[in-house]
Amino acid sequence: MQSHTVHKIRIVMVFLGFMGVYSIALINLFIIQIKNNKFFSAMGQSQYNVTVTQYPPRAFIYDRHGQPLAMNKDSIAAFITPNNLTNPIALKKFLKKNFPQAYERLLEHQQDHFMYIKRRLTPAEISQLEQVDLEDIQFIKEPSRYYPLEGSGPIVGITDIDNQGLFGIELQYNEQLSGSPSTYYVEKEGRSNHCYFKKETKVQGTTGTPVTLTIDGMLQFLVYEELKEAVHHWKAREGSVIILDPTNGDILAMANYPDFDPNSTTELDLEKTKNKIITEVYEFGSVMKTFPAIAALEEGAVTPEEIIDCENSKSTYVDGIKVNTWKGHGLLPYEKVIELSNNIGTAKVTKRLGPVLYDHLKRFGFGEKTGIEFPGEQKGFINHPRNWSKQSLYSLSFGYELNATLLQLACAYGMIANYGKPVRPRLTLGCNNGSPNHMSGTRYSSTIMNIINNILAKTVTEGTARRAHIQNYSIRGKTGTANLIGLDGKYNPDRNIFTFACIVEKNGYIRVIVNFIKEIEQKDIYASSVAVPLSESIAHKMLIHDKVL
Amino acid sequence: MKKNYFFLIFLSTNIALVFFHIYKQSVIIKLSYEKQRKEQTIEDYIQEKKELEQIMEQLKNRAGIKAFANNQLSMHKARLSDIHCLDAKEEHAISHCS
Repeated sequence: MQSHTVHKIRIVMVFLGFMGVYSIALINLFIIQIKNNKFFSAMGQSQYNVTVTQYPPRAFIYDRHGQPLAMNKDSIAAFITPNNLTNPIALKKFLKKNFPQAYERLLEHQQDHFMYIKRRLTPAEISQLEQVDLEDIQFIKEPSRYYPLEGSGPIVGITDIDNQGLFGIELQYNEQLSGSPSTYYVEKEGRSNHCYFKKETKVQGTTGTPVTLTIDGMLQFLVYEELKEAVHHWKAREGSVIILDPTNGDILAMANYPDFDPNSTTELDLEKTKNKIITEVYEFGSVMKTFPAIAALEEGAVTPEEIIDCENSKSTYVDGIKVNTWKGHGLLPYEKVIELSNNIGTAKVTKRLGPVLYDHLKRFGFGEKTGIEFPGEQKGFINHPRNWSKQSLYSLSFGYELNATLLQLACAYGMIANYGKPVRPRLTLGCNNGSPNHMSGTRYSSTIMNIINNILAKTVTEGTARRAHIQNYSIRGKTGTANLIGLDGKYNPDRNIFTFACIVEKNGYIRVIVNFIKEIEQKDIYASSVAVPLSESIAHKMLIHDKVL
Repeated sequence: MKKNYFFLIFLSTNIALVFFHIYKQSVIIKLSYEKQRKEQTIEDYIQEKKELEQIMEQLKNRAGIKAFANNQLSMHKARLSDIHCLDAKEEHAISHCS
């Protein structure tokens, strides 16, 4: 009887024991599955289901022959996880000594999950960080850009630390080059952490589209080297050159010096990053005399043969306004006035034009943007007749009270090269690759353009630009030496800009070369000695490069 | 007897189907991993190609080539007067010699 009771108690005890265990299990299940369901399911989801965003590689920028001007490379960034450091003391000591800015940031963000020590590390910095052997310092690869062509920085531009365009073509076509990111829903494999079970595309991105420039990489380099040499030779402040194909508006070369190295951007001088051919305006002086001359011929105000009295003096008064010129000339036919760049003769003829000169300058595209696909284009300025003083018409006749970009000047000479057809410049080859890019209509008669082309040809063979002459080629051009305005607001005869614009032609091959050299050390010198030889040596290189022999 | 036999067949068919399903899933996962490994290999090759392209462009550095031509090969700037265009006779003579 007693053993039966004990047996019963044992059964109850075992039953209660099992019940207890099952109850605990059930309670736990209840807590996990029902009460904290949201928390645990979210934890599970975050461990196995991940949304990944992938950015496509930035597209290349090419020259007209398919040579890369901007390509991708990986740069290395070093980072730490401040809230999970194994050896914080040694790390802080190292950072304080070698990366003080990162040390300062670490002190401010000690609880952060992630912090960059430095991005876009130099090879020296990488080896320094590798040698220190600190576990907390880790490396990741980041996309960045490499620019193989020297002298193309101001055109192509650069990208910032996040590989987004900062200026130049990189900025202009940032969206096209970047593409758009794709988003994937990934079910991760828990153990390896490298593979996945399932990958679904949530947002389908687009790859970046390359940009092809009209620039000829080799010609660009040749022009840049010549310009660099000239700027050093004359100890000049700066210089720029543009080569334009007037038949289709393609810009084949566009060099600025001094410029910057786009592959070394730790210390950037913003002044050197500008493409001054498009983004800066200048008063070019006598090189602009061509346009009042065309206006005067078109309006019938003068004929090329009409004799103009240049008063055989370097200085005179026309209608009470003082006009200076570089050299005294006597009686000259009007075509000689332009060839010899006489300000007095030019002023006397332009006086006959009056306010209509403004309309003619507008017809050449001055005072308006060319519409080139480049950020920061300047439109320049022409003083409107309603704001003219007594001096204005004379100033405009020899290139003052009118400022323009070198690109506008090249386009205006392109129009002369095209015998009156305006040219729309372009820097990128789009879907109309190689096709003509003329603006509609002819703005001047071919008769007038023939006359002015002859005058410009004589300027090279007999006038101020004799150094530009190349045997067996038709070279037509005009020089210009202009004073720059000083800080006091007055023209300073010791600060000059020397410009030469020319058209090079042979058997249907035609190019416009325009260059300027600004502020040289030597005094009492003219564009015929500074800008003309530069154009001549560029023309030699260009003709050999293009095999126009 | 027939009833037991039916249950046995039913159970074993289901077990076999379950095993086939597991086998199918494991084959899919295995192939998926293989595909991912191949994709990774392609990525690595693309990366290597990118690095080689960059090295190639660095080697094509025009300023370096110019310096080498000037300093090591004593080459100088060419002008149009340095170039002599061959006429048909001269061209023929040269091709005949070679």
